[in-house]
Amino acid sequence: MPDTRELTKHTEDINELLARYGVKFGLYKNGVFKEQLFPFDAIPRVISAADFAELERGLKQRVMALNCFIADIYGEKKIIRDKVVPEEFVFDSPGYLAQCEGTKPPKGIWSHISGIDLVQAKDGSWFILEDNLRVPSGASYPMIARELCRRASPRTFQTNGVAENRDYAALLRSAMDHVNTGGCTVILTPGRYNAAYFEHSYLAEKTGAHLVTGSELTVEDGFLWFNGYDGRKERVGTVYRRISDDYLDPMSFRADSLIGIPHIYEVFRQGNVALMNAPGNGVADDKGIYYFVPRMIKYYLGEEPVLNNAPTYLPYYEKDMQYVLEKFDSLVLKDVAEAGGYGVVFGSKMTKEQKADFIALLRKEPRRFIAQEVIDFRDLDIMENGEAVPRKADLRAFVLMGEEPMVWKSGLTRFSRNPDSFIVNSSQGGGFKDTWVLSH
Amino acid sequence: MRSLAFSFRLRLDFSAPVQKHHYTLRCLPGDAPHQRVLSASLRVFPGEPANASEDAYGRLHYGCVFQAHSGFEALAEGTVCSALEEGEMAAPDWQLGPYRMFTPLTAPGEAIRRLNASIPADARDEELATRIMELMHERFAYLPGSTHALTTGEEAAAAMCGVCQDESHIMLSLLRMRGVPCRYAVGYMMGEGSTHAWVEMLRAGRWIGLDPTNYRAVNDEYIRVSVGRDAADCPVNRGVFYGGASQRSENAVRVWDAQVPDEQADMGRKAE
Repeated sequence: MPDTRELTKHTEDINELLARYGVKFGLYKNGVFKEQLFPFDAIPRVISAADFAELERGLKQRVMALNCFIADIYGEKKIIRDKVVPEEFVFDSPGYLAQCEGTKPPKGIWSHISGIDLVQAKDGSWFILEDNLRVPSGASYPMIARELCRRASPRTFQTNGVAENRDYAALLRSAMDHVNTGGCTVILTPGRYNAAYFEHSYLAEKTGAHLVTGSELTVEDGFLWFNGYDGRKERVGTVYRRISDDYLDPMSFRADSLIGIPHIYEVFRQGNVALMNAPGNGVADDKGIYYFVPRMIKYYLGEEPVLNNAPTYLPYYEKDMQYVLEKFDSLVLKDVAEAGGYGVVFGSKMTKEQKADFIALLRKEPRRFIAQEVIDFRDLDIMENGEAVPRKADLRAFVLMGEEPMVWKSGLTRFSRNPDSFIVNSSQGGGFKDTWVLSH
Repeated sequence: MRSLAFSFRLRLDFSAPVQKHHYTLRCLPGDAPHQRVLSASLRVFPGEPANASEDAYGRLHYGCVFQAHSGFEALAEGTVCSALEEGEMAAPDWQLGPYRMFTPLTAPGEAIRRLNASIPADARDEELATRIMELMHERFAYLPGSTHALTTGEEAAAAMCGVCQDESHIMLSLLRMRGVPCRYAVGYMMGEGSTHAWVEMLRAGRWIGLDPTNYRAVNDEYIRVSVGRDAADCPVNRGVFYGGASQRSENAVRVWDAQVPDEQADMGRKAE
């Protein structure tokens, strides 16, 4: 294990600087907007070069297959013809957007930035927990944390052979440029009250893109234009949008969106601007579709999956339903429509009545749930009151799609501050760590 | 085959001036195996000519009127050869998933389930279509103003009154309950003074048009403009604007037999 003692002495200073830079998380709770700090723990997650090489292979493969799937669903639908995925899991899912039927995004890329969540089991093996292909956030946190750690303890990084992570901006920029249809590059933010506003501004600064809100963009003559504060109009070729599909365009999606750009989707569909990520990706990162990803890899790429899913059961299939009922107490059940750690329940933690109610619901709406084995996570140490204590943690790896898929040699490690909780989502009060990939 | 001329006029009146008024219009028919467009044009007032585009549901035109205005008009005209074949050849079955699923506007509830119970369980194809149309004809009251654009099929079935959009949604819901792929069609019909909606049902690999409102099959008097899973996929007009105004909208449609010059009619025949 690398020596991080000198670095961890500076934990408090780093957190203070993070707060000063505005590394915060905004949350709406009971209708009130509250900003909270995103606590940083200085003990890094360390991944060996060999371990990462395997992850890299598996992540590239997975994202390639997911991209093929999205293109297929909004196009020819061969995977339905070949009965690999039942059609009701696709066209009845809230992530399927009928407006995207027949759309061909620039260079055929749908998921330019994919955030793939993994956990490591006690025996060292990795499991995929979920795919985030809509607007995954989080890369900026380990970026700035690394910058501050390097400042706090330069020696730690001279002696430990940690792979550089400053290149995220360059990877992102190359993905942006690869699909550019001619014009400038902008990062579209809903504005300063968004939970990830720090990230939007940080990535704009690091990639040299304009940071814009919807009111600064207009559609005219079939193209998208950026209206600068000085009255100049500039054509836009790539929009890295940090607004969800629903709110992106009131003419194609939710009509009551005030932060979107009317007709931006039309311009995109005609090939006159690139939107990253493309709208409609929710059809592939639904918790129900997750079950089918290993089959997609075999179907589209003809390869065996390098990385495994957590063992998952679909009560939709009678055989799986039987298993779920039998092993109920040892499983975790997830509502496919929920995200952010909500709608997750552990069989073992239910009272008798809760269990009976849940099973009744499960029988009534089997398509709504998945069940998974509870993975025995490998805990990571965090410093609490000057003492190292073990906590549950996951890893969000970032895969960017340019000419080729690229895996960032770092990632966001999130941990649960509550010793009894498996849920690490930042929206539920978790903290984060830097992720070191060793260069040897 | 029959040559039809059509005109469509949309008029929007705002209670106060509005600006940055973005609109998407789906009012020009496109070429399809069963219909051939001989001519079609669209004019809008005020503002620049609209941009033409096309999506999975049909042709569309979009644009924006930036300056303040209190009225907006769109005028579409053209001629079409209709009924070139009986029903458009459908895509292969595996691509029809979206048309088998319920949508928020076509999801059945108690009222639609009750209707379904009065149709024989073994009714298929033509018989199923006839049974549904009969049921609607006998029990559904055509009552303009009793429903609005967002009324669901289930809501309309509970009240058993509404307009062509509602009847079509109920029929789509009943067909999808039996796993039959079906689409919502919007267009123009001879003798109908505004836009019309009907249903297309898959039968032997073809989309067969059925008009529950008029209790008949779609014939050579219909011009199809767009198709979708339900009315939300293909509204004739969709818009957003800046300004604290309410909007009144009306449209007028006319369809008549066209006097087509010989050479254009020949093109139509070739397509046949």
